[in-house]
Amino acid sequence: MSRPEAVRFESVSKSYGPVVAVREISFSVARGELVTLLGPSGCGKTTTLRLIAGLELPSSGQVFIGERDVTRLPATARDVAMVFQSYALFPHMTVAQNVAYGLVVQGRPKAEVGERVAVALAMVGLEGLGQRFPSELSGGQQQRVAVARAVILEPQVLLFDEPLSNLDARLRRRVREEIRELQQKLGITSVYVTHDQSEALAVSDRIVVMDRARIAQEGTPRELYEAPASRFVAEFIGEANLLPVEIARARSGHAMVRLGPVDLELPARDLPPGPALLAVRPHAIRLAREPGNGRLPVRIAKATYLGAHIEYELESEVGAILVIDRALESPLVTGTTAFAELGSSGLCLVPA
Amino acid sequence: MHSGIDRTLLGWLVVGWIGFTVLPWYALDDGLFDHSWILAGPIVDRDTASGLFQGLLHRRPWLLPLFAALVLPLAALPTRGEPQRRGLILIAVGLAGLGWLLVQGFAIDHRGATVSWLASRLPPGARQPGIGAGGATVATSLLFVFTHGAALRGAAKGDSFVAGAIGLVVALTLLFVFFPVATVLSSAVRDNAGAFAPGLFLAKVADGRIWGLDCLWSDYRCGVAWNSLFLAVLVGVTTTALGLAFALLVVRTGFRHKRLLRQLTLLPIITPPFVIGLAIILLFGRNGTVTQLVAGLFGVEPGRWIYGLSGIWLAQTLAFTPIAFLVLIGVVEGVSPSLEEAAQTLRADAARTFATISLPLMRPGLANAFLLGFIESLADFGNPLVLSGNFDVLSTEIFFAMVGAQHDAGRAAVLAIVLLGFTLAAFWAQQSWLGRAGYTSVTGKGESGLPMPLTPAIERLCRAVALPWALLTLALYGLIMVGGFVKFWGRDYSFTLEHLWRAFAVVPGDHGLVWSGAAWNSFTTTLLIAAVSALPTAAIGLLTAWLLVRQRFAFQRAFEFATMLSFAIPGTVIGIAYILAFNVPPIEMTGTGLILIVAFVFRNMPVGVRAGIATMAQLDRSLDEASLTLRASNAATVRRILLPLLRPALLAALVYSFVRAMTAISAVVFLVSARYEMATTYILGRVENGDYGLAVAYCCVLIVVMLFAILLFQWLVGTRRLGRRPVPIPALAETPA
Repeated sequence: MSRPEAVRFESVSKSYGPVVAVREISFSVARGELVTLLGPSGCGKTTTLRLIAGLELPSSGQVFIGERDVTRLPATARDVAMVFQSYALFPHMTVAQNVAYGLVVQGRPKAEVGERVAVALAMVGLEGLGQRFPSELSGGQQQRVAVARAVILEPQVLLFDEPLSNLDARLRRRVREEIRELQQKLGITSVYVTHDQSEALAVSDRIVVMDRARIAQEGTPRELYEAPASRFVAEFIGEANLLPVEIARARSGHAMVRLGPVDLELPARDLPPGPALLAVRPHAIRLAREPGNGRLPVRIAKATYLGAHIEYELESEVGAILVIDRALESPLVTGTTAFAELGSSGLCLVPA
Repeated sequence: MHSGIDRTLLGWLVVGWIGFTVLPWYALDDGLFDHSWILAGPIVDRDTASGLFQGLLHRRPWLLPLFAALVLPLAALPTRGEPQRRGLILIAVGLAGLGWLLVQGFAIDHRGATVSWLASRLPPGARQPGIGAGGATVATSLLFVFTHGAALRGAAKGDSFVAGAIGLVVALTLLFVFFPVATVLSSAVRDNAGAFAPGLFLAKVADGRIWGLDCLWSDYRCGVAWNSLFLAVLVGVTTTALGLAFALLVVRTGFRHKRLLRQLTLLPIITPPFVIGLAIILLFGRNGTVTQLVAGLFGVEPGRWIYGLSGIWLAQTLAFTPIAFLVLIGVVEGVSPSLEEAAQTLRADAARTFATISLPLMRPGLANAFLLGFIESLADFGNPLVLSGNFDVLSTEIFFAMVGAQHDAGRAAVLAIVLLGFTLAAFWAQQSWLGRAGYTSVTGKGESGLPMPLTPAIERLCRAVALPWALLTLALYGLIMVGGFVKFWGRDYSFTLEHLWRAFAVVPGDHGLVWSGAAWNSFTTTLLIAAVSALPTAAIGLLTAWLLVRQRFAFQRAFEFATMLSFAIPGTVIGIAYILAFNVPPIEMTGTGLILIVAFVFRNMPVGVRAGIATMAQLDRSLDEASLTLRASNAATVRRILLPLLRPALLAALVYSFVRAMTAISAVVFLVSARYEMATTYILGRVENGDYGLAVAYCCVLIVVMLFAILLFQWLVGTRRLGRRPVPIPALAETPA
C-alpha cells in the first residue's frame, strides 16, 4: 500500500469477560478505499467496526485513524461517522434536524447548518423532504437520511453496519449501488460490514474476511475468489467443491496433483507435498459423455433445472461434486454416468 | 480535547476554587438562602469565612491541605501529557483531597477533637460546625477531579461524563443511604454515652420485649418482633388472596365495571398511609357509625376491639390490597392462554386446568405479591400509630423509643436493625429467588388463544370476596370525603364547613389577606418541599437508570442492588438513621428543610429508576450510538436525544416523587421541626388529640390535590402524544437518487 492509511489496527483484541470477540487482528484501510468486513454472524466483524467507531474500546492493541492514535478515545472524539443497521434516526426530530444534528452539537452557525443540510439532502435525492419525520418515510428513504446524516460531517472514515439488511431484496441491489457511487464521488474512506458475500463482492475495493474472531484472509474481491487462502474462505466466497487431492511434488511454483485417477498441474501456492484440498468452482467443470484423458468418471445423482442453467449433483470416487452447466440443450439424465473435465480457471489448491 | 488545556478539568477546578475561597465553608445558622453571608464576606467573619480564610485567619489550619488538593491537578491540565500519567495524578490528588476532607470532618466536630491524642496537637478552642456550601462545593469538585482522572485511565470507556455520573450516584448513595444505616448499626453497639458495648448490644437484641413469647401461655404480651412478623404474614396472605380475586375478576370474567375496579389501584398512590386507619376509626371506633348502629340495635356495649391487631390488620389489608391487585393483574394476564388451551385439548376440564396449569403458573407472582404486602406491612407506620392500642409493632416502637419518654437511641437502633433485617430478607428473597423463578409465558410471538373464562364456581367466589371488599374501600374513602364536613362524628352529623375553615381560613387583614388557617403552614411547606424534591429525585433516578441500562462498567450489579436497596429500607429506619447521622457535624442537617428534601430524594429515587429503566428499554441503543458517532458528547446525547424521548418517564418520575413526598409519614415523623412541619405529621398530631374533624378535612384536601396532580400529569402525557401528527402521512414512492 503506497497510499496513506486512514485506519490501522495493530494486533487489536476485544474480550467480554471470557468471550473473545476479536483476537489479535491487524489490518489497514487506505485513504479513499472501501473495505468490507465479511464473515458469518458472530465472527467479530461488527465488533471490529464498533472498535473503529469508538463505541467499544479494545482490550489490547492499538487503533489509528489517520496518523493519530485513537485507541483510548471515545466515539465522540473520533473523526468517524456511522450508518446503523436500524438507521437509528431520532424519532423526535425531522429529517432536516436529524441531518443537521452533528453540526448543531458542534455549535455551527445556523446559516451554515441550513446550507449544508440542503446540500446533503440533495446529494441523497431527498430534496424537499426535510420537514418530514422519519416515520413518514419509506425504508429506502430512511436509509438515505442515515447516510446524509453521516456524511455531512465529512468524516475521515464512514462506517456502514449492515446497511441493507432492513431493505427488501429488490431494493438492496439498487441501494448498494447508490452507496458505492456516493462513496466514490466523495472519495470518502469507508468500512462496510456485511455477512452477504455477493454484496461484499459488489461494493468493495478490498474485503477482509473474518472467521471466529480472526482475519481469515484479506484482498481484492478477485483475489479472494480466485485464490482463497483456506477452506473457510473458499466455501464462504462463492460456492466451491472441496475435493481431497494429493500433491505429488512441487517445483518452481508448480505442483503435480493427483485427484483420484486424474493428474493435474496447478500453481503450488507454497503448499508442501502431501494431502491438500482442491477448491473447484461449480462453473469450472465441463461435463462430457465420453471418457478421455484427465476426465473423472461421475454418476449424475440429481439434476435441477434453474432456467439459466442446470445444477447437477454428481457422485464420484473423490466425493460429491456440484456443477453448474449452461448447456441447456442436451441435459444429462439422472442415474447415468458422465465424465467431468476440470477447466483451467476456477481451480485452486488450499491447505487441507 | 485536541490540543492545549483540558477544559473539563479546568472547569471543575474553578468550581473548587470558588468553593474554597468565596463560599462560606461551614453551614450557616440562617441557611444559604438568607443572604446575610454575602454582606459578612468570606474573609473576616468567623461564621461565614471561606475554607481558605478559615485556615489562614480563624485558626483552622487543618483546612489548608485542601488548597494543595485544588492546585496540584493543574499539573495534569495540558493535554500534551500522557493520559495514563495525567489520570494517575488526578486520581491520587482527588482521592487524597476527599479522604482528607472526611478525616478532618470526623476528627474534629462541634466539641473539638473526637480522638484524644489529637486534642493536644490542635490549636486551643479548635472545633468546627457542620459542613456548608463551600465544603460541599469543594467535595464535589474533588469528586469530579477523581472521576475525570479515572476516565483518562480508561474507566467508563474513557468518558468523563459517564465516570462522573457513576461517581456522583455512588457518592450520594454512600453518603445518604449507607452512611446513615451504618450509623444506626454503630450506635446499636454503643451505650448511650457513646462507648463501645457489644455486650449491651447482645442484651438489647435478645430483649424479651422484642422476642418474648409470653402471650402464648400467659396474659403477658409477646415481643414486638413477633407481633410485627405475625401481622405482616397475615396482611401478606389477605392482600394476596383479595388481590387475586380482584385480578381474576378483571382479567378473566365479563364483569361490567372492570374499569372502575382498575381505578382502585390508583388509591394507595394518592392516600397518605394512615387515612385508612382514620376512616376505620370513624366507622368502627367507639363513636363509629357502625359501632353505634350495632349498639343501638342489639344493645352491645361499644368496645375498643378495633384498637389492636384486628384494627391494624383490617386497615393494612384495605390499604395494600390495591398493590397486590396491581401486581396480580400482570401475573394473570401473563398466563398464556395457549397453555390452558393445550391442557383442555388433553381432556382437562376448566376447573382442573385452573388448578393444574393456571394456578401453578401464577405461583411466583403470588409469592411476589405476598412479599410486597409483607414488606409494606412491616414498614407501615401511620396505621399502627393510629390503631395499635396495646398491640406494639416494630415501626411504632422505634418511634416511641426515640422520641417518647424512653429516649433510648440505642434501643431504637436495635429495633431498627431487627426491622431492617426482616425487610432486607424479604427484599432479598424477592429479588434473587423470584426474580429468576418467573415463568414468563408472554413471548414476542403473537398469541392467538383466548383467555379461558373462569368456572362459574370460582367466578362466584371471586365476586363474593372482591365486591363487598371494593364497596367497603369505597365507603371508607367516601367517609373521608364527608367526614370533614359534619359537626361531630358519631354525635352530630349536621353539615358544617367549620373544620375546613379552621384548617384553611383566609381572612382579610390590614396588609392584604391573612392565611390564618391552622393548616396553611404545614400545607405550604409540604407543597414546597414535595415540589423541590421532585426534580432531583427524577434527575438522579433517570441518571441512574441511564447508567444501568445504557452503560457497562465494573460492579454494575452491586451498583444496581445498592440503588434499589433504599426501597427496602423502612421509612422509620431511614428516619432514625438520618436523625443519628445528620444531627452532628460534619453533616448537620436536622431541623432544616434540606434533611426532608434529601430524605425524600433518596427514598423515592427507585421510582425514578424504575420509570427510566422501563422507558429506556424500549429505546433502541443505536440512537445513542448514532448521536455519539456524530460527535455529540454523552452529555449532549442525554440532553438532546434521551431526555426528549424520555419525557413521559420524566413526568411520571416527577409526579410520583411529588405525590409520594406528600403522603410520606414514616421517615418524616422523625425529621420534621417546628419550622418545617409536614401535612402528614400535622394531621397525625390532630388525630392524637382527637380532633378528627380537622384531620379528616385536611386529608380530603390532600387527596384532592394529589388526584389533581395525577390527572394533570396524565393530561400532559396525553397531549404530548397528540402533539405529534396523529395520522402518519403515507410514505412517498421511491424517488431515484
